[in-house]
Amino acid sequence: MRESCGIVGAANSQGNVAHNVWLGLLALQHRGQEACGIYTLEKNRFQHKKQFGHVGDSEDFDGLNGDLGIGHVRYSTVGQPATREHFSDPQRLEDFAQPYFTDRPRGGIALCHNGNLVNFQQLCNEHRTNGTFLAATCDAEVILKTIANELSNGIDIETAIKASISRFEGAYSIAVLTGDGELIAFRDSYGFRPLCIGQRDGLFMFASESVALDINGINNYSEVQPGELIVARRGEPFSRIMLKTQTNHARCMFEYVYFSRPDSRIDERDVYSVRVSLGKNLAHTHKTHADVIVPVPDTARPAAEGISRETGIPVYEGLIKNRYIGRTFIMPGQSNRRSAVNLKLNAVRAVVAGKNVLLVDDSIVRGTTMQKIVKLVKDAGAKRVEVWVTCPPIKSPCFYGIDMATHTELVASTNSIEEIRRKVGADALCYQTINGLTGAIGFSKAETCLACLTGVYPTPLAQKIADEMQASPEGQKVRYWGREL
Amino acid sequence: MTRVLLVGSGAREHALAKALLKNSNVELYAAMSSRNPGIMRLAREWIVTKISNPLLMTAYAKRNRIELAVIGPEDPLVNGIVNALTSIEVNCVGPTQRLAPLEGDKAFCRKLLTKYQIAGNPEYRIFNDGNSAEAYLKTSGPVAIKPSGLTGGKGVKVTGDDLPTKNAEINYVREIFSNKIGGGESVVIEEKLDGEEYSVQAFVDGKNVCLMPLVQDHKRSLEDDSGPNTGGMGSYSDSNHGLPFVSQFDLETSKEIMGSVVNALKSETGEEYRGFLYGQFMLARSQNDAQAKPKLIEFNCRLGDPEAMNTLPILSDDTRLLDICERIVDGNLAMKQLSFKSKATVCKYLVPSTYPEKATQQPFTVDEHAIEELGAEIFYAGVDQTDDELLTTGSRTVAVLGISDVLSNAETCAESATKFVKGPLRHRRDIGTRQLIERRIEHVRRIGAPVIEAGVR
Repeated sequence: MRESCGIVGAANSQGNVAHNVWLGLLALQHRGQEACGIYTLEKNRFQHKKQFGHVGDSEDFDGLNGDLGIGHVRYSTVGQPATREHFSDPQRLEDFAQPYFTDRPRGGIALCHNGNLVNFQQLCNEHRTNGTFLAATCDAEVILKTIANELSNGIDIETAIKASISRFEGAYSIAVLTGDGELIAFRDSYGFRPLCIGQRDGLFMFASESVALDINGINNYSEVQPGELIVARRGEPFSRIMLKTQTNHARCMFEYVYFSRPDSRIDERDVYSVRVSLGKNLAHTHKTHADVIVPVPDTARPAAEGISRETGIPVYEGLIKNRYIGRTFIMPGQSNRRSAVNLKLNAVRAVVAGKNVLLVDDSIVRGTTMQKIVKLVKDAGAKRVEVWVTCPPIKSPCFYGIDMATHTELVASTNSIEEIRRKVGADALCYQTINGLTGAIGFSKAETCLACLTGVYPTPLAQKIADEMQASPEGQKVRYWGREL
Repeated sequence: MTRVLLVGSGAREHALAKALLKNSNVELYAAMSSRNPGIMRLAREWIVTKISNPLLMTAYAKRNRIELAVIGPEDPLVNGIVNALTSIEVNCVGPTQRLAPLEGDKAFCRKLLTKYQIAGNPEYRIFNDGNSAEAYLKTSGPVAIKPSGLTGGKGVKVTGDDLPTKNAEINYVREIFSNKIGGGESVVIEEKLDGEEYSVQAFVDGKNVCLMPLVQDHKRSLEDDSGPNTGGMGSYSDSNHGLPFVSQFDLETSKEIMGSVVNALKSETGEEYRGFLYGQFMLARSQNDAQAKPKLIEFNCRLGDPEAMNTLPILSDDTRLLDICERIVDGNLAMKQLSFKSKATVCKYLVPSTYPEKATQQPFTVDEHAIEELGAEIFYAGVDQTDDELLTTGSRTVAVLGISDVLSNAETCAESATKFVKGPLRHRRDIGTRQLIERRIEHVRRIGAPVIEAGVR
């Protein structure tokens, strides 16, 4: 499964900011490993660097000067994923990695984005029809061009962003840096993707997750509210403006279940505690005869702990992950010989042999991974394998930044739980309930996006697309984003 | 991977886009003047902009690091798009601004043929003011009056159909100068020719001229060649790549005229012609001819529309358009044998029912799947793709192409395909039919050309 992206913004009144942004991106690496990039502003001069691969692969980011900066780690859900061809082509890198930049108006604007615009295609076509160059086939570029066009009318940045967001439908947490020295963050009014801000002596920062602030020594943070705009200018305290309010929010439940780091705090909830509660809630609703609880690394560890606390069954590390294997190194040829799962995971015979094993994972999307894990554990001698999933069955595609694009690729869309159990080869399969999920997160159903579980989408175009996709057998297979993927 | 910029948004450019992508590793960027749904789908990236503004085109090409540009329509060529793109090191298929007057200035073309003693000119006179043209018309026989500059195919008027009286002729000449039709700088008045037209399209690499199969277009709006002139209502080509009324000798003559013009252009301007060249010929008898000969009606610096649809889709599998384009740029077309499949084609344009008089925006639908199942092809032309529907724009809407081993089957195929385009549209049923082609052969016999290869399959 592909994750969304991560964004960071920082203002350092005491020196170069690039290092702070770089540290933030390091902490957000789990949100995207395809590419990363930083833009900084020194007086009114932009500097930038982008690269494919991991943030830590290069320390050159320190060479960027300037007191304001934004950064991004990318894992594409819209736009073409990086291919080998990309790596030898500097322009491809510019087009692929964010932040994106336009040299006018206002001495230039750099922007990066986490989320997904549902009406991306429509906006693209509008821009192209009006003669605006688009190169990157990515929604962040469309957002940038929309704001830039609004700004060309000579209005201030707050008004331009307010006018722009009235045309966006979907999920967006965005960082902007203008040549006039404005550092800006804003979050869509549904609050799909997280965004937090914080500061300490001379350093102001915002980021997708609080871990990016922790690593910079900022321990005091607050949420950017859904629909809120943050503007920081040099030498001034930052301002908070509510652009758009609405009663029903739609925070992505997957951020808690899977995406975010367990040590992050999102919308005033500790992700770690949410995951422990997910485990506890599972233990409240289901019975088990297991001897050992084995979490599928790494996400499911806190949930396994939660189950253990309720049931008294011990947690063992029965699956070991080879942390040196990145996606990049799994070549098509190799996947024929050995599945990607076998390359990444191995079962610990000493833990599972002869035991009744309770496997805990965060989600089952396509079902293929779980099938391989169950086989792995059984091959290592487990007597019986039960599978508990901390998230309810995922049935509908996501248009808000998670790469679950069609109904047919989601195993729970067309199969009953019993059918899925047989597919993955488990002796028992238990899912979280929706109440168990929302209860653990601590937001009501009206404050959470559960579209992938219920098929009920918080925004109108997404609902229309999903309904149309489901209505036609063709549409169930075709990805909405068409040729971009 | 070659990054190719395609300029233009008609059916011809849709055909170019399809052919460029076929069997080729091409990343297509399209600069269009309207949203052509066929091209939008094939392009990696597209833009709607003023394609005849070379500055915009170079900016777009630079941004997308274009390696090769293929120019569809004539306006950008006349405005110097090739010079502009070449200056930023983009290779171009299409002539430079100094060569484009071959199409853009009819007086230039006539004078070039005369100066270099190339066959094919009818009797003609060039006038730079209304009075002298008027004086000439008073004593002339039937004429074809042609504004010198570009008129989008609608500027030529002939005695009889368009101009029933001497007064009408004189009024039209005055209108050309007063309303600046085709620039209004000069007018070419030619003897009216009676004969059959045919289209000779070629790839030109500066020296070599490689012909495509011959095609016959149908300019008149209504069946039986009645009604006003249009951009072309449809066209056909035969599986032997010839036309039943064009003899091998006449074909050779036509080819020679094309080759001589390419050489003459080089002598005249010092620049080499690289691109598509499309000679519109008529087999006709001039006042001083003993028998009918190929006469040059005009040259175009581009492919024909609809003729491009008859030829590009039947390029052999081992003849890739991308390769041809690269050879045009490199000047080594002679190194490769270009080949076309032995297929007959019939192209029929569906046009708004009010065409060519009035432009209306009307929704219509296309069942592409059904058309594909017939083995036919569809090319979008004057179409605006909105988010929800397809709208006609007032010019020709879509072209359907039937392909088969024999002409009659290709005609049936195209005719069946028209049924899957639904909306306030009409087309000419007679294009490509046996009846109409036999009438063409009869016509040629009547005007006194030896018909060597009679018979329609």
